[in-house]
Amino acid sequence: MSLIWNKLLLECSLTRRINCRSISTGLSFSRNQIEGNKSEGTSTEGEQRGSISKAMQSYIERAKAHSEFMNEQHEEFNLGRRHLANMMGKDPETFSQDDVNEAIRYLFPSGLFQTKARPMMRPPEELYPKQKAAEFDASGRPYHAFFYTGRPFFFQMLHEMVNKIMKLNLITGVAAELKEESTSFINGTVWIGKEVLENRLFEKITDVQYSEWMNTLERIITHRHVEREIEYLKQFRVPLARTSLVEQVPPVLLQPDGSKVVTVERVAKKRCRGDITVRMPGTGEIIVNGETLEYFKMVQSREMVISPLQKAGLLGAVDVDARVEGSGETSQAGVVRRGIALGIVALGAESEPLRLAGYLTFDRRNKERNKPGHDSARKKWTWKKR
Amino acid sequence: MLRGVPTAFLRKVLKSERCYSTASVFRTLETNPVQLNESHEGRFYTVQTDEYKTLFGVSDKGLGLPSDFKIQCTTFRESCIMVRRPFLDIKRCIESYDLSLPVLRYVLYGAAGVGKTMTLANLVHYGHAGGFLLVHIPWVPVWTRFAKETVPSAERPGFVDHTSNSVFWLTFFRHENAKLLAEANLKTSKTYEWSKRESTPEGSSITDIIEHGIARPTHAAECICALISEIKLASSEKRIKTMVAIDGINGLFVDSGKRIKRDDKTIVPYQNITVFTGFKQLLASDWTGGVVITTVDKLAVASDLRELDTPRYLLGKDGWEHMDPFIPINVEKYSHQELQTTIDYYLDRKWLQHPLAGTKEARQELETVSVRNPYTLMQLCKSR
Repeated sequence: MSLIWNKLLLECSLTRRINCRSISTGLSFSRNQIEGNKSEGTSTEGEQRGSISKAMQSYIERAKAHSEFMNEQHEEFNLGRRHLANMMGKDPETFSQDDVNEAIRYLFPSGLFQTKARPMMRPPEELYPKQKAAEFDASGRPYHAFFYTGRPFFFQMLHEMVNKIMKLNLITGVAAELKEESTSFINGTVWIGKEVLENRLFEKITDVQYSEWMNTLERIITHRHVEREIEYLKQFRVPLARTSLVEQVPPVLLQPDGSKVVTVERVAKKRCRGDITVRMPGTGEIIVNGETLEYFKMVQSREMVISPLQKAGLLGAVDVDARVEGSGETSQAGVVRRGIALGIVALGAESEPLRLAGYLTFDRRNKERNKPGHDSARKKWTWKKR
Repeated sequence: MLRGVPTAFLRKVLKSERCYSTASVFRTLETNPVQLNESHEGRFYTVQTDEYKTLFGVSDKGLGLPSDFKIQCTTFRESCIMVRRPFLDIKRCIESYDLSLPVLRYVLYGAAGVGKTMTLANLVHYGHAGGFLLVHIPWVPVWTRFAKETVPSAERPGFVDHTSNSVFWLTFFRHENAKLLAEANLKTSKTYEWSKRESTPEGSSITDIIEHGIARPTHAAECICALISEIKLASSEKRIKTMVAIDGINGLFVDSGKRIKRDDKTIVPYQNITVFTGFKQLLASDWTGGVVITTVDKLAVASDLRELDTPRYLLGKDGWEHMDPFIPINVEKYSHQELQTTIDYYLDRKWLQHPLAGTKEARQELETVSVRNPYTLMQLCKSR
């Protein structure tokens, strides 16, 4: 039994290892060497000796326990899913994870702020961390030549890159003329982030190592024969994240009199909600809850309201009708400001200056909650000795 | 193009040019309010320094003019008031009205800061220049909110008399009307007995009443009432014409927030204030030969009674019945042109100093943020 397990696990670990190796194919030791190891470790030495190293033994035990545990969890989950399907009056065979989520939300309604703290039912693979496959053979010898560097795949990749640079340096003659199509991938893309790299390597690396990795790539990308390694470099570039211009520009309604009207609904800040209507062309009239701009007592609030119009040069050219409720004066002014900004963008104002000024961005700040036993969010009692 | 021209000369030319051009736009050189007419509407006219001192200069505080405006006058070293539509309307009404008929009562109303007090001050200036005896009560709530000293009335049970406030007002009245009182030489119609030993006999000058009130603060409130009845009588007999100007008359009819207390800590209702009975006599229509101009202001009443700016709401039932019938005059916010004129004036006074202050955008911003409210505009333009 244990032998079967041994084989099985090694197969698993090898396939996994080879899969993740697929990113690097240049170095001499890889598949062949490991396969050699495998055949050596499993069939000949291990069987002949009839004993395996203590490290392997404990690994096998752990893996077995984990596998059993996961099987158990799986069964439990499937049973629970079927029960849930019956409770909801659905077909258990076609009861998907989305249906499960929906059912849990319905049966255990929760007002908890943190989504992670709310009741859930998910497959065990998502809930329990994955176990690392063995990196050594039955005799306890590591597969990877760089095992003792602590980050074998990272250093292997660095080696690979340096080899490429050396090869490029050996090329004599005039560099081929760079074509625009071949280098265009550089524009609008950036190197993959540290976390992405870590996920690809299955290894944690330090910030210093990440910058070292990036510097090495920079050496390739600035090399005069770079066109030979474009395909290699492409796998480390990701497109620059485009900032969303405007999340949701409301539709413009054309009125019978030829004016354009935009209504931005449910603009929010803190507990304040508001509907803002912008009409163009207008006379510069601003109405808030049926009153003039005098609805806002503070000059600062009034200036807030007109700031997007000033930025777009539309002060006096549009009419605004706003309805706001909840929260205080500043929040209400903030809601009106954002509503106006979204409205004039819909009416054709240039969005970039407004976005840079922060008028289009949702203000996600909120009131900090009071702490138990204290008067406010941060306030503490006066310290008294006795 | 101007290179080579001496700088001093250039500056002189530019200065004279600017003075000429701006003066013709926002300022009128007319200083006599009697001569003001529709052609001066929306422009600033200057109140001469001696007249300013006579009418508004007795105290640095807001006496007849808003205190913020007085500070501005001190800074500008001149006092300019804009000629506005309500002033011209009332002026024309006064000029065309037959003074032998019962007094007409005008009530200025409007939102806070639109210029009710300024219009009243403009009319007071007009009355002074037009030969009216001025009975000018700058701000009614002063008598309740800032009542300095009060004593129980000797003659009217349950009433209280103001002492120092009354003396101050009598001084103010004498100062405002000194010239006219000397010319008219009004006589008392009956004997006033202030106490067992003190009295003002019939046929003596009414300045004697004023002098007695100033000399004896305890009698000052009664002196005011006596003075008012004498003025009403003299006006009705056409010996003199009178202009009554009261700011915030709703303070006479509605609780104004802070209350006067007696020595035993009981609250004095606003009906039981001696001087208020005198002021209410002025507002009655049982006399001729005068004109009554008043304002209703929500700032004159307690903070929970400030929902609307309309006369009916602010005067309450008692006030409405007391004043009925009257002519309501709505004072509105600045028009677009008036706002531009004010900005021009501030630019001329170098009150707005930002290099872009006179541009179209800046004017637009001031117009939008102030919502054309004159007081807000003044607050926005002053240094913070």
